[in-house]
Amino acid sequence: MHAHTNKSASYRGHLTVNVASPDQTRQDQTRTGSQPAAGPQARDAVLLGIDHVGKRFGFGEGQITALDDARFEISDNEFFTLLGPSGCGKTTLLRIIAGFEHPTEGRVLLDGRDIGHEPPFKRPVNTMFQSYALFPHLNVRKNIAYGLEMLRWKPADIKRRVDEVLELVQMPAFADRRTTQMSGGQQQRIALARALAPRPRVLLLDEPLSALDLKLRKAMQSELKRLQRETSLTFVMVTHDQEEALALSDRIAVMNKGKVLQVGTPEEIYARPKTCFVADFIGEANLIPAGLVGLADGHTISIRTEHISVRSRPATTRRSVEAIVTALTFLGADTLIEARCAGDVPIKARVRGAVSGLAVGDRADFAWDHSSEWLLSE
Amino acid sequence: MNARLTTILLRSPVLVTMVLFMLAPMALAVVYSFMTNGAYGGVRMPFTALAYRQLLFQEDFDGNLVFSTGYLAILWRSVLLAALTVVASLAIGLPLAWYMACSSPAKRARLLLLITLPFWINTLIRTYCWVLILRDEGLLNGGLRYFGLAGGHFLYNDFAILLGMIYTYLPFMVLPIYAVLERVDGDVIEASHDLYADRWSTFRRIVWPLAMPGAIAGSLLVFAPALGSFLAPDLLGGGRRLMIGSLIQLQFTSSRNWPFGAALASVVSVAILAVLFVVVRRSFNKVPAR
Ligand SMILES: Nc1ncnc2c1ncn2[C@@H]1O[C@H](COP(=O)(O)OP(=O)(O)O)[C@@H](O)[C@H]1O
Ligand SMILES: [Mg+2]
Repeated sequence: MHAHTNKSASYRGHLTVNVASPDQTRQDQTRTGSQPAAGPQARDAVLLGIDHVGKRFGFGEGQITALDDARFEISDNEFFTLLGPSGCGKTTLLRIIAGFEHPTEGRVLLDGRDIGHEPPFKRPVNTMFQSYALFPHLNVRKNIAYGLEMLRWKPADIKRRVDEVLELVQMPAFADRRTTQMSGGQQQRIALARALAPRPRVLLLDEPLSALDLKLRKAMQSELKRLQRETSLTFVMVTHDQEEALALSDRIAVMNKGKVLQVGTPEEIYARPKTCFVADFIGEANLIPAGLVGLADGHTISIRTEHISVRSRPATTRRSVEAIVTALTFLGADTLIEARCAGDVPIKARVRGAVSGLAVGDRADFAWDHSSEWLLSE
Repeated sequence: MNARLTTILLRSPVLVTMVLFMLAPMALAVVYSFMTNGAYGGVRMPFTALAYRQLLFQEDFDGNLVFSTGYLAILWRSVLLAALTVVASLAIGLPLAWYMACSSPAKRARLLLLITLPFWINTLIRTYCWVLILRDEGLLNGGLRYFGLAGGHFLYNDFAILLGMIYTYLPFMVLPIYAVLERVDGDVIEASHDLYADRWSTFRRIVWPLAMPGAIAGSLLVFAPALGSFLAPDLLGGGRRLMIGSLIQLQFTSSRNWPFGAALASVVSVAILAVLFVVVRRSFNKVPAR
């Protein structure tokens, strides 16, 4: 908490902060406040506002809309994740926050001030690059000190801060090493330390774990979570891995094709997806036309695979559909049963343990509780 | 076949090439410089250091040897011109190489072609083109007069020589710098901006240090031939300002004093090697291997 107070003070010192007039601030809040207030973070102060941000590349026929009317707010101290498939505009949004790209529409508000068209070197925002982007001609200490030198910190303060962040990323013995001689995992920690050192208001991480092997990835996941807690900074992470997003985030923005589809806590997004895309992208969900179970046509219901049980005889008290088993896959702890019901709609169930008395081609009843189904609005 | 023999055999093409095309001509020049001048050019026995004496001393009317700075002044002027060429082509070449490295791949290829295009035309012709541009009735004056501006004498002065030199040697500066900058990860530049460095700081702290190995290689590649060049000084300087390259060339043609020409050439070679030695030693200490 001490570090946190320090941070704000140091920025006021180096970067001019225009405090928005009270009128303007109120207006900002009403405009972006139309988004559903999100879970436990709602009480925290809004730090970063993405206000109707759009980004188009190119002109005329070949124009690409990388980002379309994105709007949400990120609170102070939040671990926020942009989640979506490759090419959906996550990196573009992150680069707009960092200042490497400028939005074609909308505003990026930091502490209520529009920073959308400021150059990156004037924003109290740091990035951990996917490629690490360490300076090859500087050693570890010089790499980490770089930002602090640019902010004209005193040499003694710089030295203390570099040692502090090296401690934080558990690499204290590496201060005088060349970065080019280090492994990918070590380079990443140095890149993280370098981005943390100036105590930015927002730390941006672009697919920080995708280049690591599975074991290192799991270790680094808990490491990131620990760092975010210890530094009490706001992290904005980009990933296409829904498991990673669910495990780390306070809140997630699910994106597809340049649009932000849903913003919410992992629990909300998992249990109450708003669209078919979100339901399908987060975990495995079955998307069943509502008409098939006797509900109004034109809607879709979503049921998690683990909430479906498979019987040979219909159970009348619960929701159920009849389907023909097309595949049985034993996954160790679970068995995945794939089947097709009327109208060739695929349905999957994940049941505990091994399954006996069921074979491919069998007709079976796939049943679930009313409470575990979720009617999708779109 | 044992490993040692294999190594020697594998290295032999390089060694043969180096000896045949680099060491042998230089050794020959040194040998010639210590021989006696032939009556109609060429050299003959016996060995003598007369050529080197001529470099530093002149015989006055009484036949006494007097120390003379005439040739040293020419050498000094040539070194100065070569150094100026290096500085100017670095000043132009570095931003140009940086611009090229930052361009899209398609644009890069086009710019690279543009840079190397002059190599396809003979240097003599290219240098002579500058005469056509700069002379009193040339393109430049014509253009100036067309726009109602006063013309001037642009040819046959030091500026014209420098211009011709920069024009000739610029590609040798641009290409090595481009080669190192092209390999620099673009994210590194963004990381610098991200860490509060503006454009100028980024250039000074990141781009320049990373471009350094290329700048050193380019400087050597420009300095060495610039020191020995005679085309630009002769054609654009009108031969009024004798440079060491022209002086050497004269000794093998109209002056028919091969030993003296060889001595001058040897002195230039030694000077270049000395510069090379110092620069390479210093750069190996400073620039980390990447
Ligand atoms: N500089 C650019 N010029 C043109 N198109 C771009 C540029 N950057 C990104 N795009 C396009 O914008 C879309 C979103 O890209 P990106 O933000 O990198 O997606 P993600 O990070 O989610 O994979 C893609 O279609 C991509 O081709
Ligand atoms: Mg991306």
